[in-house]
Amino acid sequence: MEMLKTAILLIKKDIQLEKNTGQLSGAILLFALLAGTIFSMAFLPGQNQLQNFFPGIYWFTQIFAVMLVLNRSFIRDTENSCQTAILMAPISREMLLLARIFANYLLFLLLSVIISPVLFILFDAIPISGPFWLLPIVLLVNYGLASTGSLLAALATSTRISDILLPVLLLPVLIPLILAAIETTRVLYFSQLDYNQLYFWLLFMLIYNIISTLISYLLAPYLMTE
Amino acid sequence: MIAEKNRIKNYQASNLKFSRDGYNIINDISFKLSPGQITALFGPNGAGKSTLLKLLAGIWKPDSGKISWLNHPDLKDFNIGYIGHELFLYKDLTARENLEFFGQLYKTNNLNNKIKNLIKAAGLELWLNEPVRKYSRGMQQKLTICRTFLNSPDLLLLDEPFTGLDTKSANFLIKLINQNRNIPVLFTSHNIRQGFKLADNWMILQAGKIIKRSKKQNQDELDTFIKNYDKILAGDILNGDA
Repeated sequence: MEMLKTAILLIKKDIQLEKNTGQLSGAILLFALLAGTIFSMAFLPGQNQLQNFFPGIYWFTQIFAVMLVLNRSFIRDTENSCQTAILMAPISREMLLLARIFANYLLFLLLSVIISPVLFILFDAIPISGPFWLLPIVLLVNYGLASTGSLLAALATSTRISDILLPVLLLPVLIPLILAAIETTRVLYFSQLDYNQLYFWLLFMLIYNIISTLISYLLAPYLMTE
Repeated sequence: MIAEKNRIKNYQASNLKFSRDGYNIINDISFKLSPGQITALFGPNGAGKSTLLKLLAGIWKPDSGKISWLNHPDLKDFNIGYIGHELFLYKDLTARENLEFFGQLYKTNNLNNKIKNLIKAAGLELWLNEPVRKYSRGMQQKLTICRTFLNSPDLLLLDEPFTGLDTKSANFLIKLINQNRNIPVLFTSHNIRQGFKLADNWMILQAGKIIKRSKKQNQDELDTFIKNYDKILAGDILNGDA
């Protein structure tokens, strides 16, 4: 309950910051449009080849947008040492990191809501078999991005080169999740759904998320420092 | 704020040691703080004053040693009021949004009234809904003070709190400190006269060690103290000589 309350506070603060500055939402929308346009011009796909490249384009656009958001939100928190004031709150570091993960998770879901329609329309890429399966995939992948991203952002923040270090640390750790995300989404573009494949990758992502949450919880006291 | 029955009685730091990048910054420091007592920490630049306050606030962890309040089982209800060199404010949020965010995070009771009273006392009513980015440095410092006192702290740790404040703002801070006289207060200052005036006890820190400590006695002592301060730092006057 405490974690949830703290997460809501962090989200409320991020939304207020965004409302006052309007820096991020416009940039993300523009980024999604640009990425989608460039990719659609570069690949010139036929509809029967959609499954070969669209899942990759879709998830890489999401991951780069996530990195923009993560960087920005941690820069906002480290400016004037606000992060230190947050750490001094009478809340355990574990709860703070879990709250941050949850807050980022909701933000990333919002990103998906912005990015997905842009890419689906530009590529005319609504999944033909079982479009509703996209929902659990988006929920699981974004959670994985939030838990791993928040953990590594907390680690990178304590260094002097956080903005460079974050993508360098994050991308290798995300490789299993990116592969799973692409493979699961690819399944949705075949005329017949391969349920074995689908369940395997969904389970894989679930395990990835559990492990990354456990690691975050255990490392929080060491990583959540000034 | 922690319940009266669970209130920490013993504010003690024992055998603190801290090093960074191979330098010993804090060398085996022990002292007690008493509720209702204001302690001034003097010392030259680089003596380790700010580092010591960060250790006491729990921002950094000492390499060894114990800080009684940070090991207390009720720490989750224990509020430390800390003013550092940084503002701890979101510049793109308004004063109200900053105070509401930190107030809720620190589980402050009766938040709206407290914000109203503190902002009025600080003379920032007209700026309450303006982004902090528009404030002058002194106004930002005053807002930081408001944020610090918002959550009824159980312990106050103030690092050079008077820096950048005009006389009126300094008086605002002193008034708030005096309103919280039932808790221990530790502050650092380069302004020895001002610090000595406010404090009940004082300590001098040099090269990570407390080289002298005393209770404030009278005006004569202040004059002697100021006269001898450089000699104390140079090691010409030993504990109890000044």
